[in-house]
Amino acid sequence: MEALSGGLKAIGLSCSYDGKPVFRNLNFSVRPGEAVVVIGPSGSGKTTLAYCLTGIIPNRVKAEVEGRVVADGADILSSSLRENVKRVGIILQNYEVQIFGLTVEEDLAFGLENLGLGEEEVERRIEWALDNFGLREYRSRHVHELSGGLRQRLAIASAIVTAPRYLVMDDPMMNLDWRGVIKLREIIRRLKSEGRGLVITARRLKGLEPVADKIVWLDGNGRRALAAFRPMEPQDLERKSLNDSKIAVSFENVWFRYSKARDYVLRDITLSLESGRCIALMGPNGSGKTTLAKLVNGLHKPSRGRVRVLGMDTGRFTAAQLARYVAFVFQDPDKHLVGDTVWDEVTFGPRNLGLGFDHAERALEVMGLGDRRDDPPQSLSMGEKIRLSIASALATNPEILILDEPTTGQDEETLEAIAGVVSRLKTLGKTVLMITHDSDYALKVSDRVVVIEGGAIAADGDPEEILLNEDLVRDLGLEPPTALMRRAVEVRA
Amino acid sequence: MELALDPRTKILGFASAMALAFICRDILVVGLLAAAAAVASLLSSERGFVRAGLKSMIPLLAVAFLLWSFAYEWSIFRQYGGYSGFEVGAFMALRLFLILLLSLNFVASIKPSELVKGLEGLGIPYRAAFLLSLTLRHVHTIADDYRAIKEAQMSRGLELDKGSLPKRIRNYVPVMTPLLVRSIERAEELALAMELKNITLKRRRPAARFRLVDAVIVGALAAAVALAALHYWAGVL
Repeated sequence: MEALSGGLKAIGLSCSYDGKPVFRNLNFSVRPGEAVVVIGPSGSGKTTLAYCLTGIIPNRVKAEVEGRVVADGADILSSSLRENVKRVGIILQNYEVQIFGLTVEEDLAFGLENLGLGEEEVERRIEWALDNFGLREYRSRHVHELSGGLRQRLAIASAIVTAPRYLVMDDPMMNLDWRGVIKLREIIRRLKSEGRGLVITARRLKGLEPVADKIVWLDGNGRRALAAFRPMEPQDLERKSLNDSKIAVSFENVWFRYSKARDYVLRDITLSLESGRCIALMGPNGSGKTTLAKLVNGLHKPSRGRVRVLGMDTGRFTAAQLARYVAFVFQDPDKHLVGDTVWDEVTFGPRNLGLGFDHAERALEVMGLGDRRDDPPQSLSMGEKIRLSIASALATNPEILILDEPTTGQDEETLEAIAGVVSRLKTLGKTVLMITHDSDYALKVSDRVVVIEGGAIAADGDPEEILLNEDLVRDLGLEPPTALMRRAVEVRA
Repeated sequence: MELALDPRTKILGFASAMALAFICRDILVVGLLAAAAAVASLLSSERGFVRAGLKSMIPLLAVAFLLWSFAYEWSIFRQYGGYSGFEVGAFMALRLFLILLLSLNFVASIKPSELVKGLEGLGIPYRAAFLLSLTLRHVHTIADDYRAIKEAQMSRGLELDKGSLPKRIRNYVPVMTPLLVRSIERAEELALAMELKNITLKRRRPAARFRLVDAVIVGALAAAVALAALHYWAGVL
């Protein structure tokens, strides 16, 4: 009987917020032991779908839902959340909030104790999770000491110990480097072999092909179209570099460590970044990429050695003073949106620096936000917020633009717009430093790839030379470009 | 050698040592207590942390010494104790040193999770202990957020430490606004996560049993506090 009605099913599922449809008439099912991957750009409704499958919508988040969600015969949309979580677990996009214990062991115990299980059963399941998720050596470690990847693994383990048959993971690949993706894939494989059914949302399929049994595409047709990319005219932007040397940034034997730490994050870095080029900075999480970028805009000062930006020693200037020349687009736009309107936001930098608003105006147009200048920034979608933060950076007409993981969660249109901006800045003789895991994008946009590993430069050269070298890509733990993966498949065939 | 004490012992031990520091009025006794605390911290594995903490407090100790030495004449606490001049200064500075040393030792020797367990073991309702552990869990995240937001705004040309005091306070608006927004958003997500975990806020696993060594330490300290209270307050002994 169970075999007939088994599975997690979405039947004619539609969802809309305030009459605006997110997705319409979705039909798919997951059987125990299967993984369904839901692919879509930011704003296409991945989180909304994850919430529907677990009953968070309509129980907790208000939205208009039609159709049914059924887990092993039980109707999810009409049951209470308390009942649903026993059948369908979820790893939220921000899994951090799901970790309640101060230590790994406490967190694993937490959900079990809430279920009112006996002491022995709690112990048994904790031991099982420690072994099955490779967490044994971290048993009594504090959660805040763990890396992001380990915390995610803990969140998954803590959801699994309460034994739901189905697990929904909302964008688990978001902040993972390639090594992290491979580890996540092992966990997915293990969960499948135990007979659990999985729904995994992601921006792209890459990395999940070996474990995906079915794919659902969300096209996000509710999104607004991006205005056609209109390049800035060169004469609009007078050059303001302090000298005419071709080197925009130079690192001279730079060592860096945080004030109280013993170990160096960066060791003996010597590097020159030329103007008129886009340099991709790659390497695993925690290798020192962002630290290196923060040395360029003066947020960090070298512990030893010297960093020069347009000939200026960064040790003598504050980050705010250097902001006139170096703009930094950080990963998470929510961290710096302050304005009441999009226009306030984009003019924040120029106002701080006492500059005019011409570039702000143009940057908004270029990033396709010209018609949203009076909207509050919080009402924008994630992709639009990232475009807004790039526009804010361009508004100060910087000589050097630093982009930290600009491709995370982006749709193709936004990626195209960013590529357009980069190529335009290059022809204006400006420098772009782009931190990214995305090898395909690095191949497409950059002129040079610098790989950092363990705080030192592990490779530096032509993008093709580095990223299409199979051995190098594997040794450095980089994400293989699609071209390389295709080649591997052809060789195997 | 690592002496594993019950967290309740650590909390009760800290509380009684602090009580002693406030009750005792002899410079000799306070000196002895400080010496004992100093030896204890030298033996602990966290002596680096304690030393660094004390080092940053030296100016405070100096100010305390000078203030109590010279301004004591007009103090409202004048009726207490029988000292005057530098003796008062030395006593107060020594007592402050003892209090700092005890607090640093306590913070260094107890993990957040132990503190929560210990308080629970001492009869604090689970609801309150859970709230404390939630706070301790997220304090790092919020500190990280604060740092990241500050760096992002400085990168956009925001000068934080420039201008008059009111201006400097206003400078922090673009840092505090997103921090507040994010904290509220996180609180909402946290509420959802709590529901997903089926939180019952009922008592969980029973705490570990008190061992003999715990009983001895707590007993000895309780006796010392009782003695001191009798001696200094009731005039007995």
